[in-house]
Amino acid sequence: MQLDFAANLINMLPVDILVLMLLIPLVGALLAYLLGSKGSRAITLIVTTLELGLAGLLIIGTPSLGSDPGGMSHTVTYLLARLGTDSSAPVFEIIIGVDGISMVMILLSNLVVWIAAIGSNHIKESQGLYYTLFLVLQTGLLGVFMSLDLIGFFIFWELVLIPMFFIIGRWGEEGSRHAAVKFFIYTHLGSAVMLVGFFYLYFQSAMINILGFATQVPTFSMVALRNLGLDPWVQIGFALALFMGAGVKLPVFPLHNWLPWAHVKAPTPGSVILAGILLKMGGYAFIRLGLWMVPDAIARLAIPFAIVAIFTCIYAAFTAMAQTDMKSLVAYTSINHMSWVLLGVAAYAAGAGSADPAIQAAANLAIQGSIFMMFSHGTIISVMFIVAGQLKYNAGTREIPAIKGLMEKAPRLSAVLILASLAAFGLPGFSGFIAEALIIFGAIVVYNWSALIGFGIFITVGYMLWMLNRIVFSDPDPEKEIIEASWSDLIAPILMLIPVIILGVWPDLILDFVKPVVDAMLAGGVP
Amino acid sequence: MLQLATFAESLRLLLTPLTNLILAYIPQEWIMSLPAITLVIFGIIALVVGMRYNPLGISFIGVLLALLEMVMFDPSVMSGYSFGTLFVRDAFSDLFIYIVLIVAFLVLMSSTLWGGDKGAYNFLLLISFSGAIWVIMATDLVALFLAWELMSTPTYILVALGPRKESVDGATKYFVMGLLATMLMLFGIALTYGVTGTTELSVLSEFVNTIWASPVGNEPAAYTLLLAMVLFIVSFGFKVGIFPGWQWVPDAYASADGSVTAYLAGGSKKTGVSALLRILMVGFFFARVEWAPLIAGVAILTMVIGNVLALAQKDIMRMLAYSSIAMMGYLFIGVAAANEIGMAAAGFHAFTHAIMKTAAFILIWAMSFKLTKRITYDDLAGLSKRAPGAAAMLAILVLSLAGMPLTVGFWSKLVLFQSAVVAGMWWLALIGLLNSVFSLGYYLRVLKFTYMEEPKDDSKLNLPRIPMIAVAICVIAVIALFIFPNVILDYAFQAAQLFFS
Amino acid sequence: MLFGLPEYLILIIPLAGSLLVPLVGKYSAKARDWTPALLMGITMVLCWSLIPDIGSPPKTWNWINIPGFVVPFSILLDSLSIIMAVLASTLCLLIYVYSTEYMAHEGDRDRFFFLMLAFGGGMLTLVLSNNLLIAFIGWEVMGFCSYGLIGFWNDKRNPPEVDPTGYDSSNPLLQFDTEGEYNTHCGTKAFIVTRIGDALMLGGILLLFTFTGTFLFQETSVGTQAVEGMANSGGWINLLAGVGLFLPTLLLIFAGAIGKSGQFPLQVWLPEAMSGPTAVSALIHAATMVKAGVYITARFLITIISATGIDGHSTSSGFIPLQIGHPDAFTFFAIVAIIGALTAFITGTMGMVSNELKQVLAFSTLSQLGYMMLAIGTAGMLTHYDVAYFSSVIHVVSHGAFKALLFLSAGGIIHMVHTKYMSKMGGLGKYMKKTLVVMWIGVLALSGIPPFSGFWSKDSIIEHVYALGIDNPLGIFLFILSVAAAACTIFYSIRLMGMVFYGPSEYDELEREEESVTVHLDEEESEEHHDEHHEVPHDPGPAMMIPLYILAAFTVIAFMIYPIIQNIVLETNRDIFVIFIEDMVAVKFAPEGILPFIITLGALALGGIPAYWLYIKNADTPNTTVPEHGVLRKLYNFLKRRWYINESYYWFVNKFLRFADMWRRTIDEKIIDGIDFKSADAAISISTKVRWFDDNVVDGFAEGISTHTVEASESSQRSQTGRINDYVGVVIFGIGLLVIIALLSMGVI
Repeated sequence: MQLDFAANLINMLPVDILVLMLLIPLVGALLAYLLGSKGSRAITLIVTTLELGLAGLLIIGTPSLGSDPGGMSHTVTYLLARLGTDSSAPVFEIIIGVDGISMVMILLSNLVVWIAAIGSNHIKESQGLYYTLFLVLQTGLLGVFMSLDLIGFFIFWELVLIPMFFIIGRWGEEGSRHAAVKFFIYTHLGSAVMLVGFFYLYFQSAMINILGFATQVPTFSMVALRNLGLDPWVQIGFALALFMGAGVKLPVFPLHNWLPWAHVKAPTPGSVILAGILLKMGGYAFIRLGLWMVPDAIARLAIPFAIVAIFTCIYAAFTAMAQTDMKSLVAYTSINHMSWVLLGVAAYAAGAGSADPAIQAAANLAIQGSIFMMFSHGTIISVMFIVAGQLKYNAGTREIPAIKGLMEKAPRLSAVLILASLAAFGLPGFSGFIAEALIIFGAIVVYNWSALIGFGIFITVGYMLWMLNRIVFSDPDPEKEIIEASWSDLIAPILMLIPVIILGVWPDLILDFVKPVVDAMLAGGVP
Repeated sequence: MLQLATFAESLRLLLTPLTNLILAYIPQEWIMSLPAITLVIFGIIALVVGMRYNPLGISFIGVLLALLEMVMFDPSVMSGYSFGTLFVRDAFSDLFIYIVLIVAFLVLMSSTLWGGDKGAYNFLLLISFSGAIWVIMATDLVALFLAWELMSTPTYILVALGPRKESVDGATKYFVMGLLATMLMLFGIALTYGVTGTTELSVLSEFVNTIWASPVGNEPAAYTLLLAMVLFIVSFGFKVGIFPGWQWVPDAYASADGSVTAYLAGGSKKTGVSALLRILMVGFFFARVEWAPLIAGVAILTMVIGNVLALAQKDIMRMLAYSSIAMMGYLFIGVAAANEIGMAAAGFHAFTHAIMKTAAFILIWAMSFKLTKRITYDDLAGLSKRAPGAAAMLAILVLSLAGMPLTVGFWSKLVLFQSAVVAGMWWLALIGLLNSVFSLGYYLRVLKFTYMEEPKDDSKLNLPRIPMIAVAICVIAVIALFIFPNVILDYAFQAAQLFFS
Repeated sequence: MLFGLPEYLILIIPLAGSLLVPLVGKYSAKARDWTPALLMGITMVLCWSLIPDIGSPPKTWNWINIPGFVVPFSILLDSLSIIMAVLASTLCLLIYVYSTEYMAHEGDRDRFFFLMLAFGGGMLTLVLSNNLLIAFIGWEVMGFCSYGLIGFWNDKRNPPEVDPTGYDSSNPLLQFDTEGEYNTHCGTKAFIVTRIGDALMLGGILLLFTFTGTFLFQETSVGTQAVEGMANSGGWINLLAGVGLFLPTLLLIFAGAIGKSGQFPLQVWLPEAMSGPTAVSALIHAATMVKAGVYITARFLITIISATGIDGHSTSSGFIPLQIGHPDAFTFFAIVAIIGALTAFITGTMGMVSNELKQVLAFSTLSQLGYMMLAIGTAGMLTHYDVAYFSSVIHVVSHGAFKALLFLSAGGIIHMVHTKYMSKMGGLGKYMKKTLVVMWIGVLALSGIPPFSGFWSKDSIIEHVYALGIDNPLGIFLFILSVAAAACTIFYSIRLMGMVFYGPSEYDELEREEESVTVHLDEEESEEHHDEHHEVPHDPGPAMMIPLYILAAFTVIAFMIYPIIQNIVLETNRDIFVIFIEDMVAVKFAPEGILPFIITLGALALGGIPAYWLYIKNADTPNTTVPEHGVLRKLYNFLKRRWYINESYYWFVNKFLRFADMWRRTIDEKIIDGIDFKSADAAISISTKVRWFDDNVVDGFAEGISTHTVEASESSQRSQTGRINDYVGVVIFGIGLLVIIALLSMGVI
């Protein structure tokens, strides 16, 4: 889907649009730091809005499957370092470029960051620093979704970590320091393992022959690595490392423990970005580095992945039911949702190789579902977190048992909360339902036992309604003072609900960008 | 990198008349040692002037002159040898000399805080600098020994001159250990001479070659040389602060004057590295198979010791000291790889570490100077409120030490680990990686206290300007080198190529 | 359709219109209250205008279109769908009109009318959609609206009214401080219980999709791309049956129906669903929600039949029991029939002892739904399925009518006397004469007294069951249950009338007092007097009565309308009177029909007479109490506690929540977090240990934290000697170690 005027507009830009998108936040960050608390919020809002606009322009002005290698568009290469003095030496470089999937994720991240920026209106202390970190964070996020090179990917991946660490620890609530450190250690450990995987792949890409001589210049470029067609069993080592790195971010069961802490302790915008995008980085890594780059390896790991996903889903739902803190309930909900993405990935990996067109179609379905799930979850969970954070300001607490009769005291807030919860447990008509439906329809054809994840749905509905009962439909407690949320606080969530509902009735809006890429992947990938 | 080269080129062109003048009057033998000689001269001047005025300016001029001479006389166009073949300037030594001179400059900037006897202080510093340069240039063991003493002796006194009572204590340890090191070094030289009858490294390497080529019948010689090699590793390892000679490092670093500490960590450490590299890569090049695992073991032990102990420190100076021990551990991964990329990585890491550590020590020293106390984590609490700029710089430096992207520390670690993998020592790289993750334990603590703890007193903290400028330069370099790592990396690779051509 | 308008308007108008309700509410409360009625009126006209199109192929529009996954948006136009749509829309309209007065004094009507309208929209979506997935969406919409509506009075602050003859539960989940909490609880219960069914149903849908690759009942085409439907090829049945999944799939889907239609064992939510406003109860029971299950089952009946391609149509109404289609299908419908019959009987018995007016009606609904399921199941087991199937359809229709009638009038009564317990009523007959009359009509229809609508439908069902029983022992069993249920039905119906309308009334003397009281009581006292709802009850106003009249009229003249419906459903074109004489009257006296007819009448007498004797004839004498001990009391308690089914569920849920909490406290926090903290502590402690080594052995003096190290290192004297020696020791040791490594690497040792 490409509109000419948008394409022309992009071409008219002085620099490559992707570079522009990466640089604007950095400049903004500098300005924000210089302006300090006076103008930094304004700068941030301007920058994020601009970025959102650019993302929109990008996505409507760029073919999902471009002409550059690997079906990318706007590819730019920047040489960082050459390991050696002669020109044939291997290089570290940053390659950026986008295809349909990346563009969707970029749109999502700019959307969520924008919402989070609007929702930052409660951040009062040392704003300058906050917004600086905030914008640096945006650059990192965009970079992750743009880079086509393992080194660049890793750099941006880690770059996201640092500002987030400060945002959680500095502006979070009581106990956020421990959460921040925990978040950092967990994710950094994961990325370290992933880095090992990267290097493993890098050295394998030298294609050492029997005589022990390298037949190729080792490379980090994803496109090159994919076209190399390494031996699947070689790739599996990489896939496992990837599982560690991306699995922490996603997160999946054994690696999930940082998430509730970080989400609960972080300031609301922090939680929004964490749940809205950071988790998507995991899913994106699975799709880009896994399915897109080394599909055979993932295919061999599909069954364990699927099992882990299903277990995570049910486990998270089950744990969420027992939470009393609103935010941690939402946090576990997002674990629960992201496990769907992994299921979709596994289903695709298993089904893509099959000769049976029906199963191929199912795989196609599953992966589109995963991407759609990432988008819809990004939007839905943001609303949930904003509302959860809002409760703190309006009801004075986030303890679910302590809040009563929200419907009477704060109908506006309750309305948003109800809508968000319905969307969250996948009530038909909201985007969540489409996503879950696509994934499970795909998965169930590939592995019929993956229908077990349905129990996850059921429990989710259970605790969501239970939560609504206790907070919204219970009768108010005369002692507790609950004030209605001001419209300025509700702008962000309401804006975010629009895509939720639109996508619920018109999923193709997003899927159209993804389809060509997925078809190409199924066909063996564009060289 | 290209930019630098062209810049130096144009500078040479500019100074050709002066160059010719000097070449006309100064004996050829001296030309290449000219920077060191300059420093010695200026040291004496500083001593004299220091009786009345503050000679810091003179020291600055001296260092700048030395730099100028480094640029003026390019070993690639004229012979790099000086005083026969005792000393030489080549790509490798140039890299380390530049490191030392840069560190020297930074140290002088932070020396504005120095409160003691100015003359002696500057004299000793400059002499030590010159000694360092000669150590780096030395190609002959005897010359190396002399230069080594020239560099070390002043530092013992400098440490002892520290502001606090315990600095004498620290100095004593440093001194005793230093003596031990020298003793072992002499022992090693003696053994080498006894076996080969030469102290010249290039000749030595031929001997090693022949002996290792036909080991049968030559076992005694081989063992003796091996023992000598071990002794060299240990003795030079003292300065570098690697296993088994690391213990003095925290005591001396934490007790000495901050500027001196910065010099010890940034400068004299690197001379140890360069000397060791030269001995191993030139002298014992053909015994690589033997010393590579040795170095690997040293590297592992050093990393582990440094990280584990650093985690337990409360005093920032001590923490940084231990962390720089760990850093040297990483560096020796590259040495253990014993291939071109490994050497380059080591050189590159030496450079980056010099920048980061010097800056970090200066920063902490400036704080402790201001607060007139040792800096512990509690003193860092709320630094972001009391001195935002300093806090930001500290954060960047710490992140760089931890090897995070957007800082040059990321590249140096990456290249080091990669070199190990290239050499097939993937396990070594893995251990290094785990260590670097483990090191987050104490680096994060700094960030946590700086940014997330509430300060005990909200009073603004105005740190002295000139040292802060020095730190700022380093911080900018740390970030800039992340974007243009080639600027240094290429020189490192040229230096590394030297050993393999 | 009318003016060739697109059919999906029928769905869009209520669903989208429901969003308008709050907006309209911003400007005028009155307009807002009438908006649903208005929109539903339009919808109803559209639905009626669909009748001529019956039998035409489904209309289709594009929805999701991914290669391999085409989900078109398609509208069914066959008799079942349209009859359901007409019924639903009409009843909804009546109920909305009724609500305008009934809810006039309630707060937050935005929410109420929004949910009501959306509810109707959901039902229409379900019955009209040709697409199982979209049907499921409507299904879910209804589920959620019911949740909101049943719990509508969540802000009632007064303590819940206690049932004078009730029992108290010890379950912690059932302790409510206020009525609001109780109502909310009921809403959630309804949603969760039905949701259990839904979850299973979704599973069934997925299985179906996996094997059929389509969601459609009847095949259609999106643009040029044809999409196959289940009804048009029987292949999928054999495919499923081949892997033994046919029966499980159907059962999973039927589980959804069980949940929604409150069949055994998921019938527990419906009685509590009474806590909502009466209009809601009427909507749920008569028109929409509970009929959804029946509809989906019936839908699958005809889908399977047409898929197996057997012509089940019969010109004459012969009863020739014979299994059709696939053996698994037979089993399935047998299960449906059994569950239906069980429900009919069990809930009927429960209804006999309930003391809450609307709850009695709720039980009766359950019982009638049981009949419908029974009919469908029977149809599935008969060769000429269509007559039995038709009888279930008309039972849906008639039940819709008279149950709406009963609920609305019951609502009127409760509206007047402000209590929901019958034991607090009594003797209202003389005050609410009109209500009495319409209610009698409804009750007679409910208990199946000729010639009211209920009789025709219910009795035909019983006859078909009997026909089945002629050569299938299962049929006998079902027959007995259904007849017993009929007896229960008439018993509690008459009991209800007696307890509400006959016997002594607390208002009799009140009436006399009325003047005297108002004479020598000053204003505000008499005001509060009014607030204490002690004014004499009277018939409700026109907006509430007119719907009642319409429904009553239908109930009476139903026998004239059924033949038309029969023509439509059976796609025959016979003369209406012939149908009436042959199929509705003569059958009863035909040799194979006379016996069940007699038995049924006997059962009616068996249930009706004692009830009449107890509750109406001797209504004035309080002889209706049950003895304190003895088997009768035991039975009473057993029924009162609803066969303990409900309680067991609560017990389980309670345990489950406890377990979840325990899980969090033991597994998630202790173990998972534990691992984290432990590992962190371990790292720290190790490093401290090593430092201890460093300090004590290497540094040569002992203290814990290195801040002390600093202080102590100032006392230099002692430290130096000891320390240096240790250093040297370590160095020598190190050299030795390195030498050894070197020798090792040389391979000499």
